Amino acid sequence: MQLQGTYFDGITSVGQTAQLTADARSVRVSWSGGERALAIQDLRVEAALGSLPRSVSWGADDYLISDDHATLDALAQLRGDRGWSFWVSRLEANLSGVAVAVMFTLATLVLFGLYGIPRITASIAHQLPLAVSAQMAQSTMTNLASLLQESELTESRQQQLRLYFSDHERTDAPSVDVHFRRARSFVGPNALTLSGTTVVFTDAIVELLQDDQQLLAVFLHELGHARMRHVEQTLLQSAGWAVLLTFITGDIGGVGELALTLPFAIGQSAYTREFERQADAFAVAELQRLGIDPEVFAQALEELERSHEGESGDTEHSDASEAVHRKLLEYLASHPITADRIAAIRGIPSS
Amino acid sequence: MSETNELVAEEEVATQTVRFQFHGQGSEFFRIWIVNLVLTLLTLGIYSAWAKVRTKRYFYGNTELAGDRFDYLASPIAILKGRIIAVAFLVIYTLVSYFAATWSFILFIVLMLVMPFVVMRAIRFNAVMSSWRGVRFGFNGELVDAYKTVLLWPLFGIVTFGLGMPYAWYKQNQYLYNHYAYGQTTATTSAAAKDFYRVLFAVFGVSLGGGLLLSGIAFVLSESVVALIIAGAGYLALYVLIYAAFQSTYFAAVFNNVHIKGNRLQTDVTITGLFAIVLPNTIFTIMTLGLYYPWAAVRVARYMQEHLWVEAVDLDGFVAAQRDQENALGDEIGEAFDLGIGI
Repeated sequence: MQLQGTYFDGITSVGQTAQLTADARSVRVSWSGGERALAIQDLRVEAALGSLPRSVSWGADDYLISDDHATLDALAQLRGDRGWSFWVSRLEANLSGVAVAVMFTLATLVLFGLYGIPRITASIAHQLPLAVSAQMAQSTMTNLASLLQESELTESRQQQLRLYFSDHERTDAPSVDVHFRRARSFVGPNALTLSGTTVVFTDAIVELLQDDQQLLAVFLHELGHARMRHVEQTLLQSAGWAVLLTFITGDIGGVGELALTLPFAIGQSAYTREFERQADAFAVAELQRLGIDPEVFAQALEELERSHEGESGDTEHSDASEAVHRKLLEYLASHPITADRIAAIRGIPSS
Repeated sequence: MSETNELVAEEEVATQTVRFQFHGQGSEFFRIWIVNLVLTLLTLGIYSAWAKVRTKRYFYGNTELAGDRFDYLASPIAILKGRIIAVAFLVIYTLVSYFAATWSFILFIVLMLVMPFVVMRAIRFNAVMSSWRGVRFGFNGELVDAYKTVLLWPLFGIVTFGLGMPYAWYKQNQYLYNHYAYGQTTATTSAAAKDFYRVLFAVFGVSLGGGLLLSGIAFVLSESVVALIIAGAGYLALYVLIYAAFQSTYFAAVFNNVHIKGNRLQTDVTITGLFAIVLPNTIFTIMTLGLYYPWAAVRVARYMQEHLWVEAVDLDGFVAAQRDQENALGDEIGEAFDLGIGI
């Protein structure tokens, strides 16, 4: 068997035309400056990687490069014991193997994204000690310090609402801390769950919702987020994706990374919408348990929706493109469109 | 963009233009990439070290200069060790920064103090594992300079609100290419600070112009589905344009100024040229949920390599250096935290 190639001595940056002759036992490599006799077992024939020229080496710094793939494969066969990298090369060259690989990868990622990560993060989140959640809320509060300033509500009003909320809170878990803060105007009337232990109301929402039962309904929605550890789950999910993507992509950088994370970011906002639905359902169930008509929650949401519209201009459109518009928004929005949520709340029959 | 260098223009010897060529094929790399991905998933990430070596070998091996290919020689096992430590650190760091901000600050300080060492090792590892014609590259930068390059100068860039950043890049480039070696021969760079200020101006100009144009369009179209889609596409295009402006001008600043033994690297990569490659790449990659990535990677590599050449005096006279054992620890930690240093 004869193999033509280029010989590099591993010392100087000059290649020399060379040839390798092999039979079942011995190998001879010769080039213009010299030659080498080797035993066939000492040869290492590189497995194919695409159509790259491959090296034949023998454990020293010098080696031979060739792109005569047929002869290289025959040489590897002669040598025997080719190692598993030849198996990988065969898989890469096999079209149906590649097709199976594509399907397998897509299926794994989709299934893992839809079921694996939410399950894993949910179970971790529920086992996190409350102290960790409290620490988290503390961090967020510090980070948002410039956005959330001291409340201007009177101390007695704050205390009254806190008592009112905690009187209506299920006692099967430690009660959550309720904070009142005056937020920058773009936050508007809003309530936020910082973690499993902490809920923040803006002054604006307390001023907007005159009926305390409506505030209670909003509180129960946030309590739903807190009890179900939704914030913890979200953070763990993004950490999970970060680690997973680092593993899978390893050496993708720049735009490639953006392109790969974008679908996941959109997928993540779908988790968030699911969390909103769960928190709504929690609030409705709690209101029913307390003998309060869930209608107050629907009214509270309508009130909030109206106040947000007041800022950003009327978004009511009745033309044909509305359906498309809403679908798009629904897909991208982290909160379900309020009209849908209100309908869902009213659609749940009171028991 | 492709300004010739004044410093070397004088000592003109008979040079020969030797172009880099890239032979990679998207469809071929796709097969390698997808098999890498499957084996990585099946082995819960362990195979990723082998995948990385195969990917790098594919790109190095398809890069040709003067008839011979480059090679990447790192052992997957060395990379796996580094990768395990890097991922463990990344997990701890991510969790700590989410759940205990104060501790993450301390961790961050520790990380910052270790980072110059890691970066130095990463550069050296990558250099030593790269070869051409059987002669390896190398890097002989000092640790003290690594501290200045990785910590001090970027810090200077930050306290000057970014105005000093190009100067930091200039210093980083000096650290890198005045200590980069091929065999026993060390390279030199003649890049000046103004070359890197040009990068800043390009990025700034493109962001400002694109941003104004976008807000103009947004103002005219107001609120509708069409406007939403156009604005989305516009932001994506602007992001890609800024990326292309940075990458191409930085690439030009670096590679129009590297010399080794009288051989001069030159490039004529342009913002528009790179943009025309990266924009479709990004769009297709998003539309195919990432499956287009191998073609995208090959197209970028081909563009960069085919716009790079050597004004060569002598490429045959290099001699290999003595080698020590290297480990991949620095390399992998550096990579996991995505440091912006390197080629």
